[in-house]
Amino acid sequence: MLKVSKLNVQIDGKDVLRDLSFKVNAGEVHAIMGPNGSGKSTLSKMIAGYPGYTVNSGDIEYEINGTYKSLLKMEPDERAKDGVFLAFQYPVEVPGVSNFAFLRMAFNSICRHQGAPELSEEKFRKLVEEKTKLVEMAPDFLERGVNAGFSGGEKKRNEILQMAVLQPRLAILDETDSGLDIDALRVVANGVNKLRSPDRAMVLITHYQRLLNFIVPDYVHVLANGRIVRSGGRELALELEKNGYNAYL
Amino acid sequence: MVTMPISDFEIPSEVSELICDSRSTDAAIYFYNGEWLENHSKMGSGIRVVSGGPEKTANIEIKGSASQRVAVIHLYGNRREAALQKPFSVSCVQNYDVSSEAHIVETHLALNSIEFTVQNAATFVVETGAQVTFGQTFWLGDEATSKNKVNLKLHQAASFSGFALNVGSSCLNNEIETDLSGKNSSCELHSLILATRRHRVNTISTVRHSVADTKSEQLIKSIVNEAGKVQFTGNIKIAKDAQKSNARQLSQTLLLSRGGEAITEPQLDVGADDVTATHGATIGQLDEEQLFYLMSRGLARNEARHVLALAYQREVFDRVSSGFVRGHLERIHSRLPAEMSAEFSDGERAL
Repeated sequence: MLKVSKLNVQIDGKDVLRDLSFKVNAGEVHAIMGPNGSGKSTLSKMIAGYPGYTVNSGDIEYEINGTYKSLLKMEPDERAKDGVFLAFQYPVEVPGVSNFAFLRMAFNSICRHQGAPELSEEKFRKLVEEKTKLVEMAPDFLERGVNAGFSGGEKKRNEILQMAVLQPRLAILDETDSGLDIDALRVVANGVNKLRSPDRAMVLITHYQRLLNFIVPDYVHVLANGRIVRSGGRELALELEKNGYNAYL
Repeated sequence: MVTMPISDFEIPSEVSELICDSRSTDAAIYFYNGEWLENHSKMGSGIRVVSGGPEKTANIEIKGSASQRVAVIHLYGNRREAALQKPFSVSCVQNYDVSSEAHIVETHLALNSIEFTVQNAATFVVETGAQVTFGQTFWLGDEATSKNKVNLKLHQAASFSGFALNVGSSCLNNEIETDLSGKNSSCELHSLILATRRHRVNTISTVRHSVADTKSEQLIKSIVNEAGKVQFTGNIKIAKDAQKSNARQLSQTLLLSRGGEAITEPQLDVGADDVTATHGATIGQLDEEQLFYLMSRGLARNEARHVLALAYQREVFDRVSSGFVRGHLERIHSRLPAEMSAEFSDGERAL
């Protein structure tokens, strides 16, 4: 579903991703682990279409209906409409726009693109209220401004709620565990696990093994200095926890 | 000018619904090109319209038992055929004398795009302990200009919350003079200014803290698009004896086009030594991080920009605690053509 090949990216003239390659199939959950500054967040933002990064060479391709097309040529909203979702490390506050209105705009926009019928406000409210249970959010959460004044944990839950409502095919979760206490982590991880499906691929980006106790990945990659230096199964994460990243720096 | 007997004038129903929710209004006074529409007006106690002479004046006195929710509606339009229309000038005067609680809206609305000038004056005397919420709207069209003067005098423990919606007019000149002359008096003066096409909005606000323990707060939010221009001069004058005064002023401008212009000049003149006085001014563009966030959820660039521009405007409405005034302003705002509230056409790029 996702094919990153020999990707070289610069930010402000500095090489951040170097010859990065990996592949994710439908139904798989991949974890990308690495120390600070290894390029993890750059990779996640690249997939979602963050502007301002220079791609020197390589490609990010995404499969739709059996055909791969380059994500790099697509606007962020076009990627989202085709089923790409990024759960942000630092979800952005948008005061003045209610969570509910925002979710409905996003949902209907994706429906229009995919040729599905839009939902009336009433029907959509039912759908969203059902999804709030998944991340144990009170429905009044929906009337507040998008992430405005939310705690760190609430913001992360809100990202997973958005994912549950928008039902992406490819979800990138950028440090979804950072800043969460153990209870909040469990809630968020449960939400993510319920969204695992044979049609959906997920990429978890994280520093710590801890998250992978709750969301068990099929593959683990170590990202260091902008390239994947090692790949393996779940046991690789346990090894990293024991030995740290020093061997890869 | 070819004139039509004023008695023949009918208020378009969409206009009356837009500007006045009759169920929640104690009094609604209509004027057309400065002429009082007596037959259409719903008068309340303490309201008098002085007709005749060069100026048509509405004297509105609101005491404890008098009307509390008042709408003053000035409509402007051409008479007979547009081809015969010549530029004209209208003068409007409102004197508000309030000694209890009052919610007042004053709306100036052109029914079609015509060339005319409005000279408007609104004077408030807010008596001891009285509370006023006031919403003033100007939406006059691409050919019209106005000179609007608002004078406020606040007695002891009086409070005034004013909200201005300035949109869709060739040129609006506002001069707001506030005198906090009574101890413990306070005012809020907030504005939402939308200048697009070649619209100009100039505002000079002067708040005088004449005595001790007075408070003022101002939030001026503008959106400038296309070749619009906004100028704000905010004077705060704190007298020598006005100790413990608290004055805050913030002017924020969202500049969305290369051709737009925004000028902000805050001026503080502080004579007392134990006061809090702050002012701030920002001129900026839409936040790129917010834009990316909305787009990453499937909103197209122009849709995301429009959502952010509306969210930016929301803060002004959120400060209006009076449901009557807020509802009125929101109804008008919701009817603005999309491009006025900063919707973006395809191909139009940010800075």
